[in-house]
Amino acid sequence: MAENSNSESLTVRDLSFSFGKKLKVLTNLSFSLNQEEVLALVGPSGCGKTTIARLIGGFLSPASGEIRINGTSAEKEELKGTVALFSQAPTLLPWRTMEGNIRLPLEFEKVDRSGASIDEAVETVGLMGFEKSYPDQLSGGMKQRAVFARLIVAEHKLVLLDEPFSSLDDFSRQEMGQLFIEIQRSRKFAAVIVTHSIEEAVFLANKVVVLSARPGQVVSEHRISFEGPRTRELLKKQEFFNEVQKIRSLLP
Amino acid sequence: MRKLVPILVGFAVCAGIWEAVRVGLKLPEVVSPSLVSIAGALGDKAGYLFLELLFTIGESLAGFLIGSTLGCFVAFLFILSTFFRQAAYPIALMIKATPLIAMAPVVILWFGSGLLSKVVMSSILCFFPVLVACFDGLRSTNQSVVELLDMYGATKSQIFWKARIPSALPSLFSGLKVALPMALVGAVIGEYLSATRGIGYVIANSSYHLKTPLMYGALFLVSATGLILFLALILMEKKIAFWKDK
Repeated sequence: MAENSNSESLTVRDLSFSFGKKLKVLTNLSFSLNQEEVLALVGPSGCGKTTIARLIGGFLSPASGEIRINGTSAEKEELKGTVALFSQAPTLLPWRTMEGNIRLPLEFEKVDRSGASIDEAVETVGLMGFEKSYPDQLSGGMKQRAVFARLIVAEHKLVLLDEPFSSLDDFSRQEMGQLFIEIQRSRKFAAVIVTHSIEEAVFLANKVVVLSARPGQVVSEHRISFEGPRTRELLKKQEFFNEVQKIRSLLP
Repeated sequence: MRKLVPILVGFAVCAGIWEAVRVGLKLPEVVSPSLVSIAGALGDKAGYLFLELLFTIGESLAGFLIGSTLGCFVAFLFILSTFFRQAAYPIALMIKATPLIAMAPVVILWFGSGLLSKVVMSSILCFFPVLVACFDGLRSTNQSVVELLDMYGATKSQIFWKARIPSALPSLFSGLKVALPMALVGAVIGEYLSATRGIGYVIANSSYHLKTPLMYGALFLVSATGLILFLALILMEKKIAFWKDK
């Protein structure tokens, strides 16, 4: 993952949000994300992590504060086609084959279609031979791979992932994490990952933002850097455990 | 073939009960004719019954198509306009709550005693179950799918055709499966009340003339037709909304 770019892909400044008048979810939240970097949001349950992703994606409007993507104010209409949001369960259309699902973003004019070809995408995620299969014929991990393939046929400036691997077993989570890193590195997009797993945050992200309990605010930002590539071998190393412990100690 | 065995056993048991009750209670032939007499009546009037049955099927299918199409169309409008839904739902519920037998004189007065009034009666019975099923299906589209398409910059129309319509298909088929037998009921009731053609007319006419084997035979044909149409719809559902039960 590139760590030498200074231009910001995402800037969140003094962001506050409430559901109704009484339920304050976020208060004066600020953080930023450089181009081609991955930022992980961790924090206690209900601290507003998913809300942040939905605010950045333009599905919610902040009460106050500002969200800028690539230097411009994030208006929902302008975001269309440039930001991708992954929810907790892989969103595949059950009436389409895997190939049809991967082709989906290319059917819309606002999407930059200069990504990988469908064949390349299928090969990258290792789903050759399953192009004509329907989602119900695929395992959880394969569905996630199909979602990744869909991610790389289009060019996105920013990818938001909300607990993307929560429905997978431990082995598949690691495998998908590794695949995500490879894809992010090759397609060079910025990403925000919302996760409950500190290990996952440390493994995937360049920067971890620790949030307080509701109303969520930034407790700490921690930059993660490892020598050498981020492969599954890293998960067994002491430096990885040290980083996990650091983040854990920052949690409220 | 193995799937047919329980169905055939079911029919055989019903036939056995019919004969046992008839013989056991010594019911007169005019009230409860033997299966042999019913089969004989069906054989004797096969050509006539076939033509009358085709007439009824035509009325039913026309009513089914019109009622279902209208049901879908109004469901689309319900999705597009909350005001329209709030204004039209009570009216639709009132139509649903009115027994067809009470509406029949009005329908016959307006549309005559020919084919059209039967088609209208079938349509009325089909309309509501399809409206409710289609509306529920359109409304229950997975929000993640809608948001995904929205993020890709899909227009409302694209979201409608690429997400809402396919999502609604399984629910729509549930409504169609309720509506199809109702279409047959509507046509037969209409024919029974006022007609010179159709299997409902055959039932009414044979009942007046105490030709009970023919009456029961015609009744059996209506039931069997309903079953066959229903099975055909299930086959269509498996082809079109194939992901439903997976």
